[in-house]
Amino acid sequence: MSSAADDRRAWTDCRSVVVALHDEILRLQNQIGLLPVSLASAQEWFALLTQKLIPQLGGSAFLVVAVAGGTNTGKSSVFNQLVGSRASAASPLAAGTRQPVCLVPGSMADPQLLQGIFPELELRPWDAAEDALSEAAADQLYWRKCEQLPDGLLLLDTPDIDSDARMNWARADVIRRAADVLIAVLTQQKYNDAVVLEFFQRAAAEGRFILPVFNQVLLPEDEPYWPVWLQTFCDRTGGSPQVAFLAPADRRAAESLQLPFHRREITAGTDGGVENSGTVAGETLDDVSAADSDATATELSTRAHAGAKSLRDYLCQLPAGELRFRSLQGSVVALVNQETGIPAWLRQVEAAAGQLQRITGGESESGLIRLDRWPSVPVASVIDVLREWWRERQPAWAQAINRFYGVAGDVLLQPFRKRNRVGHAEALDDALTRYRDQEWLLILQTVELTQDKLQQLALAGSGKLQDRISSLLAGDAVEQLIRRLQLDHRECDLQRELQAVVNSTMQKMERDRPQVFAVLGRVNQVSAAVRPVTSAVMFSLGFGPAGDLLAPLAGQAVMHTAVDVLGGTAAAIAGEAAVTTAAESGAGVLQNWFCQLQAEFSLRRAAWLVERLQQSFLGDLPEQTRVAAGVVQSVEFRAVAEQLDQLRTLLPRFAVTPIDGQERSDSEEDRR
Amino acid sequence: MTIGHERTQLALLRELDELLLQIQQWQQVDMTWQPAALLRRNVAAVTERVRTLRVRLDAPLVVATFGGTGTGKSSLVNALLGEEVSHSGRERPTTRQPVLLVHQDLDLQGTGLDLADVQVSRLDAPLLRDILLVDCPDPDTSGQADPGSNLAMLRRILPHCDVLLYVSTQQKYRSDRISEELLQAAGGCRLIFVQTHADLDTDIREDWQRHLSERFEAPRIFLVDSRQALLDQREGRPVVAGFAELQEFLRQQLGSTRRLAIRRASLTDLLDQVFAEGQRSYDEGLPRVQRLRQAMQELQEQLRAEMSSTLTRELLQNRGLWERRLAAAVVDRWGLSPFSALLRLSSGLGGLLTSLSLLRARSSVQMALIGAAQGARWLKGLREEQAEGESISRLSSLGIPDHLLQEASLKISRYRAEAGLPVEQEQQPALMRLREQLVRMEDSFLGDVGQEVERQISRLAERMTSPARRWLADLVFLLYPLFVIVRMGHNFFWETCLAPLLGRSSVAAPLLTVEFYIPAVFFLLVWCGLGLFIFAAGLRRRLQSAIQDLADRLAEGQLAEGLFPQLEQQCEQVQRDAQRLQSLQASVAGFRRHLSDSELPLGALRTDQ
Repeated sequence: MSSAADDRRAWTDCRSVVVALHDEILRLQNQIGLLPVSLASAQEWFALLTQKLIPQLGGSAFLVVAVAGGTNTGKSSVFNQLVGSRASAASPLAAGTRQPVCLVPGSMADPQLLQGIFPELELRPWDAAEDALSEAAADQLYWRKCEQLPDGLLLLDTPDIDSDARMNWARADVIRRAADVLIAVLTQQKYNDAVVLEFFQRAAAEGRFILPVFNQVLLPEDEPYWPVWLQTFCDRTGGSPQVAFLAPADRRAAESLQLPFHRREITAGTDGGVENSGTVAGETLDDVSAADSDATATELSTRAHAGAKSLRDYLCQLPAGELRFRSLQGSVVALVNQETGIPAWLRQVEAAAGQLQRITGGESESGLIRLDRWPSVPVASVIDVLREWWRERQPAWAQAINRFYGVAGDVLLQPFRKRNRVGHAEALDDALTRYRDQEWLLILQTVELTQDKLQQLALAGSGKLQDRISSLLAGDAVEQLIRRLQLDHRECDLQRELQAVVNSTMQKMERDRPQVFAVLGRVNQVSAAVRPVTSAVMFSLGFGPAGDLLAPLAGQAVMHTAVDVLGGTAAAIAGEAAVTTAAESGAGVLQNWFCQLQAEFSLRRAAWLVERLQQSFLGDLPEQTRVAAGVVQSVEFRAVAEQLDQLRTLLPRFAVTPIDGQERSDSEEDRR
Repeated sequence: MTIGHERTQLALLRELDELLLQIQQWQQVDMTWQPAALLRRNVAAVTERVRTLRVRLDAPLVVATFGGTGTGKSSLVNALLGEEVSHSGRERPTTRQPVLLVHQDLDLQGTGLDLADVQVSRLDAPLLRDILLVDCPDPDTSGQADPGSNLAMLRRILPHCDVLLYVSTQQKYRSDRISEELLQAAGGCRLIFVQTHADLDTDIREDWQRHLSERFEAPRIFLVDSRQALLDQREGRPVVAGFAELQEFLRQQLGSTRRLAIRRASLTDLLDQVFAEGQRSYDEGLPRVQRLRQAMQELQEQLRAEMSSTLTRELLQNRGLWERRLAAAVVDRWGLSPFSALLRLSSGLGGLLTSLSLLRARSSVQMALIGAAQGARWLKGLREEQAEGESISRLSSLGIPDHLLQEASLKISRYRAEAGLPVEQEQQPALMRLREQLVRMEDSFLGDVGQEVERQISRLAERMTSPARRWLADLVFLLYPLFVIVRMGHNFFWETCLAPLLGRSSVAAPLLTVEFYIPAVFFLLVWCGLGLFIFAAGLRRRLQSAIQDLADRLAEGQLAEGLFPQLEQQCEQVQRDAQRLQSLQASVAGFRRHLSDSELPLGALRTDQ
């Protein structure tokens, strides 16, 4: 047997682990709002953490005893008998007690101390018995000092656990978790009610000591029945009490606080059934017949008092330390239970995250955009911008020549253009407009894809995620989104975008392949030098104006040819051997480079779309989804698992403390 | 049984059959809308129960006890029958199987009861002459309705019951589990509330009634002491007051004359309940369907505007075609006259040009202008050609680009999902379908435009060829030719012949020479040209305003068929279904109205919530 100091240290260790676990769980919970996992705070084990373990581990020693049971079974009556005064109003109407009442021994009459024990209840000093009937929406606890109570014993009356006033159940649950001993007030009508049994079964599983008190018993008719009732109760809740008390159905005695409680020892029979030990039963029967006889009022009073006293005495001589230990241990065991505790919850989180991961496929929202389907920017526009770019870098003479030919060409081409009603600039604009339309179509298709994806996501997400997604996918929202995107898209200056891309690409080229760049630059200058020649030749061949008109359509080919030809000419003129070495083939490199430029532009546009989608549609949803899907790898998840492991390693240190043999085997089963 | 009673029964049957027929017809309309489909399933379940009720409309009422364990259901049954027929005890639960208590002379076959798991006792009690009594197991000792549990057995027997004797005590009257179960069971039943254990418990009937009144009609609660009542009866004493009241009440209210009223009330409650529930989901869903319709309307409007503006632009661009069409129409109407001959000549040349331009027609608008018959052939050819090339994104020649269609399909699919209309199985992607629909739409649109153009042209031609105008034009046109002819005649007959003969002139003037004829012909041509020009200018002026007029009118017009014909049809169906549901509810309400003349003092589930 370990020493008390060892125990104390073990509990302190346990407390620090439990507190850390609680904090880590809260942190983890912040991350998984989008997963379809019920909140940790809605779980029984979490309530045990906050309502039992954290407030009571390692604190001063005390025993919490609560009276619990179905509505109108006489909980408040039993409570009042125990206390010996009318502390909680007993009402003939059901579900009367709405707020718990707590009687505190003199040594513990400190609101702060009590608040520490019941952190989630609103503490109020007791005024009158009717306090317990308060219909306030808040969860309150009325407390009162009671000098008769032995040191370290808190006695509580609780609301019912089976009426249609469901908030009563929740309040009773809070008290159940905080309690070490539950006085189960049972009647022949309610001892087998499923809801009542469920309550006590849970309490027993969490290591609470359950003391059955049969109220409103008809004596002596019910004497043969109560062992059967108790057997059913024990079978279905899993408790194994050694003593039960019977309180007769005597309204007058109850009202005058003189209700006797007959103690019955329970001995396990050979067949495992409950047997009433004969001697005690015999005594009580005498007792009852004496009470029924015409004894004097004082005699009756002392007898009855002796009856209520029997229950009180029994409570006082309970091994407080051991019961307290058992309830704490039971709570820890419930916490690490594989089926209902934290491990089960973590498994749920893991499964949900995995599901979400499968749906998102680790994809970001940019993964939804099919870059290969992005329309390529019209060649003519690119060439136009390129020309512009070069023009600014040409020496003054070349600029002058090109400008002259530009003007001359325009003048010459005027009649042709007029006839075809297509100007060069107009053709370019038209090309860009067409491109813009194509791009808009792709944007719409992307939005559609995104929506499909979101719908899949909603199936794997929590209610919160589903709500968010369905609000994103509402018809009005989609209409707004399209309108906003369209506006943004229309306002977007494609020409400038293109210029930016050309600028950066050219600069990159200048940096990475200076030789090719130099050649091209020279070619460009040379093109100005040879312009008169080529123009004259082409014009005389009839290609001039027609060729110019063709340019927007077949620009790429023309450009290639032109560069090839001019490159060749330039090489010849400049005697530049580097051209062939630096640019393996003028046209091939150029083509590659041109494609790269187009790709660059598409990328830039796609990035624009992603940004718009994020800003006006998805918000931080993708980010949050990613976080939720990857939560298993997160620091928080691992931290919770670690603390849980630590708690598990602490458990055996408590198991060595001797407790009732049967109980230990029970708790070991739980652990497994 | 009196003749009057029989007559009421027949009338009731007829009325009920009519109602059921109406419901059946409503059910047969197949609806894809989710709330409608759901309601149909619910109604199907209820009508089945209604049908069994109809079969045993005048059979003895089935009265069942209902309440928590230990509330004294069996004790009450024993007391009511005056002998210990159902075991009552101190162990929970006592009754583990429903006990059916019937009169010894009753033929159980006719009752339509499912007798599996039911223990039947036959006895000769006066009460059982009018009713069948079932002592039910409790709903609150089992956690779940596992097979074989009390709860499962209870749930199986309850739908056969007409009246529930809801038994409760001071301890149990606010039990959550029992209240929930009662809510499930009470639809289609009448209720009688009884507080037992009068010997031990306080009278809580007032509080109970207050709580009951939220969900139930509870006009009366009885307070009885069953044990005492049974004892009294055995010993031949008159029974205690509370119990006597209950006995009298049962005798009066559950007698054979009350059966029709009770069953009718149950029937109406059942139907009312299911329809009210359905109405709620309809009320929730209809605005969404409405929103979908509105969105479709808006989209159609938008597409129309797009089509109209394209059309207007093209109409204005192709003025030459207009002019030729108009000229041809004018010539047709003019009849034979010099100026019309001129017009014919010029429009003959124009016709040649037209047929040339036909070869070059690139848009359906041009086709519409050229003429319907040729246009249709051309359009068909063009579409076939285009359908072959899959990559052509602008199938629609009115220039509704794909992105507009994509936008439309995006929006509508969201609204449709919200409205709860399922997406039908599609073989082809939405965009393709939309495109085809658009082509269909465009056909009808162009058809309208073509007719409109025809009308405009004939109207203009009419105005251009009024008799006065024709005479004036001919007259003015003929002035120059007349002048030339007169000049020539004067020269030939007078100057060269008659004048010298009559001695008016000394010498005969020479005949007019080429020098005269060349300018004369030249000026004739100029004159003709001038005439044509002036005429054409008038034509053009009128045309301008006609085109404007036409474009305006097109912008206001409506398309016969929308872009989403199936969806629109579905919406229409939903609307109609909602109306039918309302009329059904009215019928049920009518059925209930007949009820009010025989008000029941029994409790029931409230239907107004």
